[in-house]
Amino acid sequence: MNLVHDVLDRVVVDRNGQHMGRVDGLALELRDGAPPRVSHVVIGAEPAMRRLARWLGRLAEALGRWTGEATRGPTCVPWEVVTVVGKYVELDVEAEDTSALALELWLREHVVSKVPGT
Amino acid sequence: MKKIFDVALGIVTGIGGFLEVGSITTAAQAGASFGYRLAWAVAIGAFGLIVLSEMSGRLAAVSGRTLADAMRERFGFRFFVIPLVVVLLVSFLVLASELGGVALALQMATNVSLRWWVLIVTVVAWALLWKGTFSIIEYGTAGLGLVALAFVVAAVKLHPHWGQVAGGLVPTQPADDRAHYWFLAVSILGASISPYLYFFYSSGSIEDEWDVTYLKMNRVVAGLGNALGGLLALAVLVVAARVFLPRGIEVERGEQLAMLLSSPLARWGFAFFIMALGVNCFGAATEIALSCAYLIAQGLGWEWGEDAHPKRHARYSLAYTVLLFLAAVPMAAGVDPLKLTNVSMALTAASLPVTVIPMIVLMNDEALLHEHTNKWAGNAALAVLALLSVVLLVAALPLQLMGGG
Repeated sequence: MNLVHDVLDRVVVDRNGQHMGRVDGLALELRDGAPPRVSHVVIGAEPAMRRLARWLGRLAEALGRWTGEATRGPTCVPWEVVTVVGKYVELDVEAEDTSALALELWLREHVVSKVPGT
Repeated sequence: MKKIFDVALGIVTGIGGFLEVGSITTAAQAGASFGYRLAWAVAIGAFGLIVLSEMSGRLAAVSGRTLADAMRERFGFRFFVIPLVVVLLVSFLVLASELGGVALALQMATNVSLRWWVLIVTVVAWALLWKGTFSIIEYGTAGLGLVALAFVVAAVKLHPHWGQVAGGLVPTQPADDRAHYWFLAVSILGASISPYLYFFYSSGSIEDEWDVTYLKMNRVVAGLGNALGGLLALAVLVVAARVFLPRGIEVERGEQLAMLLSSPLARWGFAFFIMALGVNCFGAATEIALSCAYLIAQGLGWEWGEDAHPKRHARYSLAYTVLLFLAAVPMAAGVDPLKLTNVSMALTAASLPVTVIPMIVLMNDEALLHEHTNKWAGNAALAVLALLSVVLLVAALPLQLMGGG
């Protein structure tokens, strides 16, 4: 498996097929005397923006702190819960137990529900 | 039987997608100023859109990925962000122009200022999308939009010299006003080859769950739908050449456009024109708003779809909401719809390299397309379009400054 080609940027889905975003970053664990291994799949604006430029990453981080509860920062999922790497990266989790849908849920509750006729 | 119905529906939608404020305005301006001389630009525009639609549809049917999915996955986020931002920006301007087109049609019909109409149009378009009735809007506007066939009737009734029309398919440069001529050529190409159209087409293929058994249908729909759309735009150009050119009228204000059909079709002509402009622009506006929301959702891995309900797809629904209402601002602020249309079409033309050039890589990637990668003819067509797109990028701004006004 080629991490950059086959994993990075793929759509992430939970065990029910709910979209959680895309693989915006991968966290590597450095080990003494052994090759590094992938420890986490990371989803979120900050890791994605950091790939463009460090200052954009910092900007996204600041925005994330400012929005607080509405976004709840990047989602880090341990590599152990990855069940399939194919068209999608499938995780053995419930999307709503992670922070991946924080903004979606916040907008549903605070914006969409207040639109008349919805 | 269902496939025959799907093909017919696809073709009608393709025709409707082609004709909108950009193609009507630019074709009318071209006919008014240069007779049939710019017919070639309409033909190349239709050809370009056929090629790019067919490939986007094939990519979706074989790989199960939309164009946006494939771009992000194949090239990574660092590259993807460029087409994402560029396509969103030009689509936003085109969306503002389409809203202006609907509002202009309503202003001509009622004498109430388009600055007020644009607000009503935007709220109606948004409410229909929010209620999840896009397929009804799409087929409704495509069907009603066929009233634009009146342009073909008008063109025939005006007895153009068909030999001269055919002669216009070969590019020739006029003796004077060259900057304006080439600016219009660029605008026509931008009006025909709009990225939101092929991004939307590939999304539709995924929504309709196309697979390799749909490849033939894809060719027919992409080919015929856009070719017939191109013929309609050509009819607009012919009518403008017969109605405006002999009277020395240059199209500078929206109201002049209505003369296109009132002259050959008399009393009915005005009504047909208002319908054709209003309905087709309305259809285009809703399609662009959705296409932009699709692009964002696909790029960032959210769920998307025309039936996506705001309660379950808040980010996606709010994306098209924000876009639509922001796009109403220029018209409400008093920007001239024709000027905005011309600028948007030229910028669309300039944006093409960032979507066309990556397609060369995608359409030759066996991991995505297996045995359905491009053959030599497809690659030759794409190479020509890529080259053309670079020329358009380089030429658009200088021509805008020299010939846009």
